[in-house]
Amino acid sequence: MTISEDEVKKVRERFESDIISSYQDKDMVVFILKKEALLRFVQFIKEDPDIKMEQVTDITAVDWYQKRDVRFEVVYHFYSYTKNHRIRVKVPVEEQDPKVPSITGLFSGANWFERECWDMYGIVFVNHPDLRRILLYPEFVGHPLRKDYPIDKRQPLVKLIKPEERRERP
Amino acid sequence: MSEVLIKIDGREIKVPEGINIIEAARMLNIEIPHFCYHRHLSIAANCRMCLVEVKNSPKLLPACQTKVLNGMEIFTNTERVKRAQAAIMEFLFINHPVDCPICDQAGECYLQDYYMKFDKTLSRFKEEKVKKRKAFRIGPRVIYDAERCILCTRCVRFMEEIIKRPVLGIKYRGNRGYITTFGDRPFDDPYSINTADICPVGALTSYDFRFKVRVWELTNTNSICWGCSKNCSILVCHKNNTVYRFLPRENENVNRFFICDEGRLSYRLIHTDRLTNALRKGNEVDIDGATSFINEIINGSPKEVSIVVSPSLSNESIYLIGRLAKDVLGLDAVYFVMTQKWADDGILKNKIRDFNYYGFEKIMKAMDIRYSELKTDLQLKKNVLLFGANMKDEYKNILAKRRIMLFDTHRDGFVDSADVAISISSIYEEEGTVINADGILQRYEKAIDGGAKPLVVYLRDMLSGLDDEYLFESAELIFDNFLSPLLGLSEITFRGISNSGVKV
Amino acid sequence: MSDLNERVQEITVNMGPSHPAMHGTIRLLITLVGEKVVRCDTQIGYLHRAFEKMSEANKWQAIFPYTDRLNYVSPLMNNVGYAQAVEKLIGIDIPERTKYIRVLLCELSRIADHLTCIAAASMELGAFTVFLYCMEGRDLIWDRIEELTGARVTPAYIRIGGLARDLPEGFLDRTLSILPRIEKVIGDVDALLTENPIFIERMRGTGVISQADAIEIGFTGPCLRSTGIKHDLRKKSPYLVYDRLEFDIPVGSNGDNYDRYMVRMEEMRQSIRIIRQVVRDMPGGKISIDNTMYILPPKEVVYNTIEGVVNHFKLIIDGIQVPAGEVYDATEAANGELGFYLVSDGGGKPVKCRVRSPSFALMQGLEKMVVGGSLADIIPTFGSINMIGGECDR
Repeated sequence: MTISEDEVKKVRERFESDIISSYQDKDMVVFILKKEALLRFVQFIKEDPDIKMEQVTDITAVDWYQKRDVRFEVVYHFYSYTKNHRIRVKVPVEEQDPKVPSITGLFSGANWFERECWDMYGIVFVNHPDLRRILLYPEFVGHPLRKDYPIDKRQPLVKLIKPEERRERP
Repeated sequence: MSEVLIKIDGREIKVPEGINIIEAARMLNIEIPHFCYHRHLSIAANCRMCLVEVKNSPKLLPACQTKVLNGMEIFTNTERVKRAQAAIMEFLFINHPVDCPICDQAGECYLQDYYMKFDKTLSRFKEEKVKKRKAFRIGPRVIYDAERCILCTRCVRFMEEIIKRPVLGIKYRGNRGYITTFGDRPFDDPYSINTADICPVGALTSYDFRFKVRVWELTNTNSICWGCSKNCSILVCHKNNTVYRFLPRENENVNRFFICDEGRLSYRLIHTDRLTNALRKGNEVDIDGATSFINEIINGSPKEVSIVVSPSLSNESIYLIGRLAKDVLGLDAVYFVMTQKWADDGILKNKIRDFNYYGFEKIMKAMDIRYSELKTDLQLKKNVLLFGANMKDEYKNILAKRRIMLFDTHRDGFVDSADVAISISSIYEEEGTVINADGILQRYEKAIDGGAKPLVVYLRDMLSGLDDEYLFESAELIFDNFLSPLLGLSEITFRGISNSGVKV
Repeated sequence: MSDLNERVQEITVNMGPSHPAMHGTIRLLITLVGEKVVRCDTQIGYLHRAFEKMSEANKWQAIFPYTDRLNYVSPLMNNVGYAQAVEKLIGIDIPERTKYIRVLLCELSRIADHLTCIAAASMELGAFTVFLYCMEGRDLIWDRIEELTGARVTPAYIRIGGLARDLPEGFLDRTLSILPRIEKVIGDVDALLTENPIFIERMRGTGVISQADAIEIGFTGPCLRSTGIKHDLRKKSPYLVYDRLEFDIPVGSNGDNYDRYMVRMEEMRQSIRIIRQVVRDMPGGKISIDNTMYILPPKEVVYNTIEGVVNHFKLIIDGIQVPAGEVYDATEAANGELGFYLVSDGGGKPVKCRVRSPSFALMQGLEKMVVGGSLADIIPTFGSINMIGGECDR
């Protein structure tokens, strides 16, 4: 179930200059966007009655280290229950300025997915309510899913924290 | 060189006139499979794997032998071509032994790679395979397995055309043929292991490398051979900080595509008899104490220090030694020691074995420092700084009464007798540049971690009083800021040196 | 009365990663006023084993044992989800028999997963007998899986383009024979719990989540269905042979713990219905595709011909060459939508192998479900979400 040709055309007309490309990938339509247009785009696909995305299924990133000019690509998957169709949105992010606007204002379910993306790749989600590490411990150094993080790297041991020194919310 | 316009698989390209189709296709990143063709050898066209379809030709043509003509249209993946490729592979596999698990070539074998890309079919052969001599020690360094041989004659042509000693040939014919020397004489040519490199299958393999490690576990790093001053370009194949072999690297300016056996097997020296940490008269001490001892003497009595250099050091080390001599110790001359020479053989080996002798010469001349060979009747000063040792016996008496402070990679009796000996890294554990006998400057990269620091680190400490000593931090900085202008290479940076080197 | 309230402070307690009433390694920092939960900071990641990093270092076909350990209670569903995504990326059509066998194993795993969930949730409420009954049912399933794959919990049975081996003689009959016993287990659990006043008191009205919240937070699977949304990927975007099978989708109405329990119980009955149809309709034929560039050649060919040895060798050393591209493929796992997002650059190892795990999104919603309730309600709520640590943290 993919969004129809008319809807694709509607999106392209509305976001002409912001869409870098769009194509059909097997059963899903993919849009590659500039990151400045992300919030408007997500709002559009949420509110438009023909597209009506209701759930952000997944947010992740791909590290094209040394294979592409723009290093990271943040990938969003959305799903609509009423229309039963999916859409994939990709946003290229450069290494020198790894910032993307957070969509937690539009979809509160993006919260943990964006935290995981920050944890693993170091991509900052601007205006995220609580951007801290989620899968790794707070004293971890580095962003492990980046391709230049060696798979057998050891982390320094965390020293024992006495109960009285422990902060309430890390 | 005039150009012609041709079309391969519908893609147009302008190529130099007279090249063959395999090379033309390579310019478009199209792979045409081949066994007997080799860029630097004569055309044999006996394997027939490179057959391609050419417009207006009723038969398929061998791409290695066919030279491009203007307006030629070539097709490399039509049904006819694919059937031909599968048929050739089927023929080659008919008598090929089921040896992949025990064959050294696995992972770099043309038959394996081409089967997965161009064949993918099962064989119709139901008979018994022909048995021939297996794992035969054709020479002291090469093993020949006649069952795996596809009789492409690359080895025969290499020995005849490149080395000009045609000692190999095919005996008998048809499926009884095999490669051998006349009268089964040992194949002990000083360039014999190159035939194992060129062999596309596991027929000729290196005896030294046999069964040691699988090739996909190895990492390859660009470097140069430390056997003589030809500085042949090599690949250092290593795993877990151990070097397992050297392979030749293609370099049109230096060694084309092969290296001599002795240089190739010199990888063993990386892991034998290495000096570790520091010694004082043969007893282990910690390095900091040893270096401070040396620094005291240099700072305390700089006028009483001589420098003796072995030219087997990188350009960067030699430059810093020059600065040490001129700016700290006030010397205008340094001495050098040469290892024994071997004969120029007219192929690759250069008579001077110290691998950076020519770099040493050029840099000393450019820095205006006199250099002369150490002689037995010289008057050296009270303290002698020795960089790289390999000291010959005849000099031991003039050095006997001096205080010897040396930096070396390997340990022997002389090193044990020195007052202070500090270990440094070999060229495979650091990065730097060297200049060869033909004036080609090459950069070598760090392959493994050896545990010892590069010599430039210790030299930098000794030069810590100088104004520009912050630029001595790494080989790259030394090259970019000092060596490049000194050698007249103002446009070229350390990282910008191409893999084929640059003429100085 | 107001004096009493002023004297009551907020206190933060730690339901630490290892806690006897929680299953799975989860840390909850719960801020309480009296017994009422005011805030609940969920901290996951104690079982993070770098699945994605490991898959980038391994060949495509070597990732299957890692997928086993994602949702370790229903591992075959992870295998099937991953294999299906890779097959979609390559463009392979698997044989009919393979599809039916995969459906059979998925449904068996679904029953095992739901039994585990109900068992653990009830045990924490004190119903230890239910736990033992469910374990008996689960063990029957695991015996079948062990007979087929060799291991109870880490089967790694699915391959890209087929299966590891065919069903043994009589497997289908033995599978049919365990179904009545599982139905009895379900019936016994039903009799013990469904109208039990204590159970109802603890589960009804606790851990409530509204439909709108559930969709926005990212819920899928039984937890979403318990809020009243009739959504199941097996019906909405059918994969394998689900479009030929008859089954119903149970839907709750309140979005509370009791509805989640009821949805799971009914789903187990529907799975049994599906298994009976699959066994009846199972076709014969081969279980893997013929193309030996993706599936290992048969052993007689490998041991006796050079082509077979070369083929096998290169597949193991270089890996399956998956054409460049990307794919997102989702299946309905026991907890919800299990999605795999794979990116390939044409080589033998993935550039990215992302798992969209259902439990991750469910845990996001835990705070919303427990805030406003009492401390004691966290236990059944957490139990009914069925968070599997391996899947949530990967």
